[in-house]
Amino acid sequence: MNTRENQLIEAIKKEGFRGELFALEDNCTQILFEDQLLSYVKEGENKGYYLRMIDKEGRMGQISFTLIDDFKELIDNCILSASFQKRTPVEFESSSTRTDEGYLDPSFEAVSGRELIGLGNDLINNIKKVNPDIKGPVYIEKNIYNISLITTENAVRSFRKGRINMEIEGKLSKEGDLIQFNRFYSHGRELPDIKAIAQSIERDHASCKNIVNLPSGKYTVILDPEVFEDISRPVEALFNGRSIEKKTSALWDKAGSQIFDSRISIVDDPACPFLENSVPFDDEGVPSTRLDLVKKGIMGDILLDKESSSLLGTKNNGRGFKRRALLGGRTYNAVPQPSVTNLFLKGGDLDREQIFSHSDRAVYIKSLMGTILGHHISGYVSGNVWMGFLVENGSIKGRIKDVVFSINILDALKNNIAGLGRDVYLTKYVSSPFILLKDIQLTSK
Amino acid sequence: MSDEIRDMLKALDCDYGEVHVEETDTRTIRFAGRELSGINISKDFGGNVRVLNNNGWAFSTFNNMDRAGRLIEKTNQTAKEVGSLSRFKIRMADVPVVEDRVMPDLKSDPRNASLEDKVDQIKHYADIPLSRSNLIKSVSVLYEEKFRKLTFINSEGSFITQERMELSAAIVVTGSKDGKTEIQSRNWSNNHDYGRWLNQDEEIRKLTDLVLMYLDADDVKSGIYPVVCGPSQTGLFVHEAFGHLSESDKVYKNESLRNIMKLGRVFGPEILNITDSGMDHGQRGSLVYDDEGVKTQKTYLIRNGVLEGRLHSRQTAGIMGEKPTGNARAISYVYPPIVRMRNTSIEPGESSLDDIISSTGLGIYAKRSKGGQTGGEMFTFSPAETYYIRNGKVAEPVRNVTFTGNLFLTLRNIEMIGDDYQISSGNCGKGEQFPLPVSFSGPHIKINSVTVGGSK
Repeated sequence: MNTRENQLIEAIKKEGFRGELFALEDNCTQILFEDQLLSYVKEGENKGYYLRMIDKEGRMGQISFTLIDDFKELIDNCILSASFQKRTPVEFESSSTRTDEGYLDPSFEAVSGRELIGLGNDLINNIKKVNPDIKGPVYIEKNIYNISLITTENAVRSFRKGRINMEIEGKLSKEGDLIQFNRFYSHGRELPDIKAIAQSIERDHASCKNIVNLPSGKYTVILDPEVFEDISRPVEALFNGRSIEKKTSALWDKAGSQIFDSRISIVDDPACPFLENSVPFDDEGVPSTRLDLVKKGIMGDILLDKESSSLLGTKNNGRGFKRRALLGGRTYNAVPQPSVTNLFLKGGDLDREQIFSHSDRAVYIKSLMGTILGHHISGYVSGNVWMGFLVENGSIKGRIKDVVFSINILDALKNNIAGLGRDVYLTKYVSSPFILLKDIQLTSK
Repeated sequence: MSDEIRDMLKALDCDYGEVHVEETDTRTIRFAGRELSGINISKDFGGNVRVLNNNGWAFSTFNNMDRAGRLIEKTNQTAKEVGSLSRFKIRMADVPVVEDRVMPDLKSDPRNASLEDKVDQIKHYADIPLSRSNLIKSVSVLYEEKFRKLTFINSEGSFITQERMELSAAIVVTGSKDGKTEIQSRNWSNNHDYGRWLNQDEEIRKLTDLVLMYLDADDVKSGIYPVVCGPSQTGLFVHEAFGHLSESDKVYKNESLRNIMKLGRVFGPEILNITDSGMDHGQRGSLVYDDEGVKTQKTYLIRNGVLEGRLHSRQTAGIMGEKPTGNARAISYVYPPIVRMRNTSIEPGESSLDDIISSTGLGIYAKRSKGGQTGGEMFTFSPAETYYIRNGKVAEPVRNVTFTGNLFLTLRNIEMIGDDYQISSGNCGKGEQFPLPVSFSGPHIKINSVTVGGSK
């Protein structure tokens, strides 16, 4: 926090109020390639603040802003916001300073725009070797975030965090059939392995040569580790402390009960270094601890922020994050809500070959589209199979199209688990093995 | 400061340069149940510089006006460097130089109502579902009034100031029974009329009844069905499934996609007309100038079943040799303008709703939409309110319905278009830019052979 920010906190203290100032600074460099050529460089230095202030009657007001120029106006707006509130159960963090250095690798910070351009060119050249007709935008983005929080109760929190994102929307149109080879990479220290990304596109490209018809029916389904991000979407809604407190989560009274197959264990771990959602503390300054959401199928911890932990009378585990609506990602301008950090589904005992040869006939789902829209608080996930394949006797027979995958995870992860892969794979903020599900309804033309 | 920027841009040694400055005042009121969960007062200031130099683009953002002048030169240097590294050929379509000031034309201004009145109104609304049944477990209400002042200056001499109101108002009602949860929502978002949000008690009662009804509804049996879409579902369908593919930045550099989206190609039956317009005053997607200073217009995308137009920024229009349509939009100063929709519609046809329903044996009636997503030629929708149609009549409600399909096949399968018309509002996401205010509209339509997913 700089002098101006400290002066604002002092001004709030002087008025006899309590305050918490959250600041997010995003220094961003984004490179865009179109038509396999460099097109755009975007550089941004954006900073925003969220101030929560508790007045003398114990009511909390909140404002957000980008410029600290007029203390009186900021405090008056906070007083106005607070004047409609009842007494808040929230207490701001107090009397400790914590600065975490381990979230930004100094060498990563030095990665230049030219190096990012080099990565993009390298990727495009490798994809061209697979098929020069695979075209579409490639984005490479480096962000250095400065996240800080200061309170009138003398708490100071800060950490810096870096990440590189790479996103490819590779499109190939073949005789009226449009295939998308999408890839997303994000990490806080490692640069993307361009050859590995190109090789995975090459494998999919080879598997897409044939299109096979898939009649509607019940199938053994192999979910690629990347699909865990889709099927875990309900986790945040179901394990959300506020939904539990309001009894709107289907799991509100299931603590300690067997909710999934005993092979399912899900951990939410913010400490795993350099992942998308790795943090030392949440956006309310509370240390984020590792949570066993599900252990051997039994429901364990839930996601708590200051408000929900206080209403439930339980210990806060630091999951109050400010996230952008729908698409996720960091923002300064949002109310903290219980959210997941990095989700890990533990591996099982099957190797890849056992997974693929488990049934004579199975469907391998590599990616889904539209799962963001499901009825997540009920556990329901549904999506179009964006890239999926028919597998017979362990071999891929061809790509399937126009197929809908729909499950309720409360049912499917309890009754339909046929096995889990031994190896786990990390993508973005989730880590998962291959998941083998039996008797899953797939609908197609 | 604006005059200084104008002079700096005019003197800049570049192919094109522009500066956006944005001041936004927002008041947000949130209710959780009968309790006010927060009032947020937000004041944001920021801007950006965008420069094209020797076929290279650069874009920089700032929060402090003092930095704007220095950033203009720095951004030009970066653009020059990008141009030296790229073989990308860029041409900006010519547009008239404009000097204009656009003030909001409000039917009813929310600033004339006190914060107390607004809080009382929301509290009253939140109480309606909770008083109706103890199966209603939560109600949340979000009310937001946003006033944006946007200043656009470019190196060609355009200088436009636009002031806009964006009003978002929505209620979400959640019910639970026997381990089953149901969520339904309504929104009254628009750009010019605070009054639209008032006197909605009856609408909220109906919404609550809908939640209670769906707590007893069964999941859909998956299969292939004829689907009758209500106006909001029609609008969302045309936005997601066709509108996004009409955005020229998706096709202008991709030869195979350009061949698919060739003007003159037949995409649907003769009764099908699809438009995108920025001119529908007061609707959430309407605007006078886009974020490149181009006056908006109504664009026919499909006329009588034939592809007639597409949506353009100045760059996509320039490269494709077509006319700009005023579709370059950014959600805020943090992002460069990209090709986006405004109000996307299917025009009304001649069939009555009775005729449409009675022509359907076993089918699905998707009365209202919830959301959708598109990827290339594929789309997915989750309607909010769905019923079976049996023997030509709307029958029992059914839940957890997902539609999916191939855009090109589905457009050809539109069999009937209703004579009614309704406008809905929503938010659109593209890449990292969400939420962008848009509207979508249309009549009832009937589509044959839609894949309907469900876990049964």
